[in-house]
Amino acid sequence: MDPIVPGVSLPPNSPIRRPVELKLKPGWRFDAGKRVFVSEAGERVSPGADLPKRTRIVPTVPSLASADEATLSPAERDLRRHVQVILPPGEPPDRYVDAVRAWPCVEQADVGPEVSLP
Amino acid sequence: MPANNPATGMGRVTDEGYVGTVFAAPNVPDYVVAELRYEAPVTFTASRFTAPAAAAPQADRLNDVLARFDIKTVRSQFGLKASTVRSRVEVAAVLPPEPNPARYADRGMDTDFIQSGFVQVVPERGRDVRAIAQALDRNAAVWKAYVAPRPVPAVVNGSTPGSRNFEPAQGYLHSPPDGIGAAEVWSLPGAKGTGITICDIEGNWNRSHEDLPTGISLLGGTVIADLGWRNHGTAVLGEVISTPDAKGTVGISHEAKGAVHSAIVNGVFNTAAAITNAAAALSAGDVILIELQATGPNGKYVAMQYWSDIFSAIVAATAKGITVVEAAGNGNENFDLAVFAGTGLQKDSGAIVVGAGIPPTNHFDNDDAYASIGVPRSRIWFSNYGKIVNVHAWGWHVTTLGYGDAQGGGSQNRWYTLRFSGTSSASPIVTGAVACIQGRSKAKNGAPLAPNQVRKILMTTGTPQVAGPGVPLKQRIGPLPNLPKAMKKI
Repeated sequence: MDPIVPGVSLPPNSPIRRPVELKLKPGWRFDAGKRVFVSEAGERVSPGADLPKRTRIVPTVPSLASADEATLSPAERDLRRHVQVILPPGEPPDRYVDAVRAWPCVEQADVGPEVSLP
Repeated sequence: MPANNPATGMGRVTDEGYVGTVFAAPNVPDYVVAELRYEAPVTFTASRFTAPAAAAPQADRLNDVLARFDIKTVRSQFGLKASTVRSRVEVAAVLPPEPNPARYADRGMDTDFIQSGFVQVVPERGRDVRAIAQALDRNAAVWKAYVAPRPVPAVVNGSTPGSRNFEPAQGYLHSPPDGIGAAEVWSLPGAKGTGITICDIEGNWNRSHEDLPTGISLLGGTVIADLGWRNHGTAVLGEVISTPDAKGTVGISHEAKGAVHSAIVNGVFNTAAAITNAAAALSAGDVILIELQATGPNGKYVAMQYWSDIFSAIVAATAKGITVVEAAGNGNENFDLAVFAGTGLQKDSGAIVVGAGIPPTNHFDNDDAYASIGVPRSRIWFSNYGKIVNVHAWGWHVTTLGYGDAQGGGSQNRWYTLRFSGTSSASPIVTGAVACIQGRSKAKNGAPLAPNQVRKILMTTGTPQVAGPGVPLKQRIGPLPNLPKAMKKI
């Protein structure tokens, strides 16, 4: 059997990075202006000390982050709990996954998928 | 009234015959060709016929014809010099009626002489040519006079100047059980994907390809600057929306509108955002195609809905009436394994998950052995499989745009391939089928079907998967869509 498996990976010198992807526990959200996670009960988690400088934390789907929750479907409300931690170039994401998982606001965290073309 | 060619839906049948391609009429004048009799000692200048005194009446009668019309010029049909034309008089004067050229060759009946008798009469008004030809044809000094033909290129679809026609190699368009029967349903109103937008999510495309329609929108994301990704996206678009123009390929749903969204958002892969953004730009009945895979927990490629954010994004898109088609991936992975319990690989996202099957052209062509790659419509060795895989399509050697192995050259805009493969080649076939169904539903019923209805129709009307050596039916990839049957369910 021919061993060929179709697939196209990123080019070797691609600037595209793999983020750390996390899902917040219900009731938590990320306040981008203050760079802090806040809960409905007023708790706060500041991620700054665990991450290198120039790390960006962004909602996975920014358009949902600012939407009125009442207008969202259940799937969209679930999707709104997803956040990406985009590290500076050269920082391996797997080095930071455990620290992210330890944040009390985080339900799950993993390195983002290694994507290719099928 | 020219009619569409019923076989292809392209070209036109005219009184003259089948016209595969319309050519602009060249701006050249109509004219008359008059062939003088060999034995008529008549010659001509730029404005009239002349003859020695003994044959002057013959020339006069010809000039009488010319005098009735506004003649632009008289000249040699073969572009002979005036001296060559004049010399024909001496040869003609001594010839018997209707001489055999071979017999009188030594008396000057050579090629120049024979060609010198062909006179081109060009009138100022093209509409006079028939009358001039008829009048000259009645003249005793003329063997035959006729209106010069206006030739058109003797082409049918497939021999148009420029790129070759690869449509005959698009077996996936053919009738079931080999193909999905797309060409068979195109005559139904809407069934070419009319009124449907297809958004392909991956990383790069050549949207300037000659065989793609204009206006394919980049809805968002950052394009990946890499030829491999560019060829891939171009190939995907070609399967669904390449134009029916007698060159290249024709898309399964070539009346659908194309759009694309890169999965790169904020410098990282973010397929969930791409799906959500695309869904916001689309309407119920439209289609999103996820042309990506990623490495799963076993180190093999899996479908993107394994990741929970992407799963939720698909659920949200389908809830808006948008059909999401998703490549199962090329990992030879069994989605029903315990390791995937509770993940998106064992839950229904609402997407149509597409596996790859063996096409009827089931051979390798990259070695001397030309070995079989398996039984048609069985699972191809690399396709992922499992309960969530709904349908399959050709995963090997799909003819479409890009890559350049079928037609290469300096311009990527004219590249074509005969070898696009993987669940990547299979997924656009299903995407095109979905667009055909939704276009037909809108045309017939005034509204598209819900995504789960489309999926059910494809699964229940498709040509069944078959087993092959080492690939039993329990390795489920589902049936191959059968559009003629599916259309009956709309």
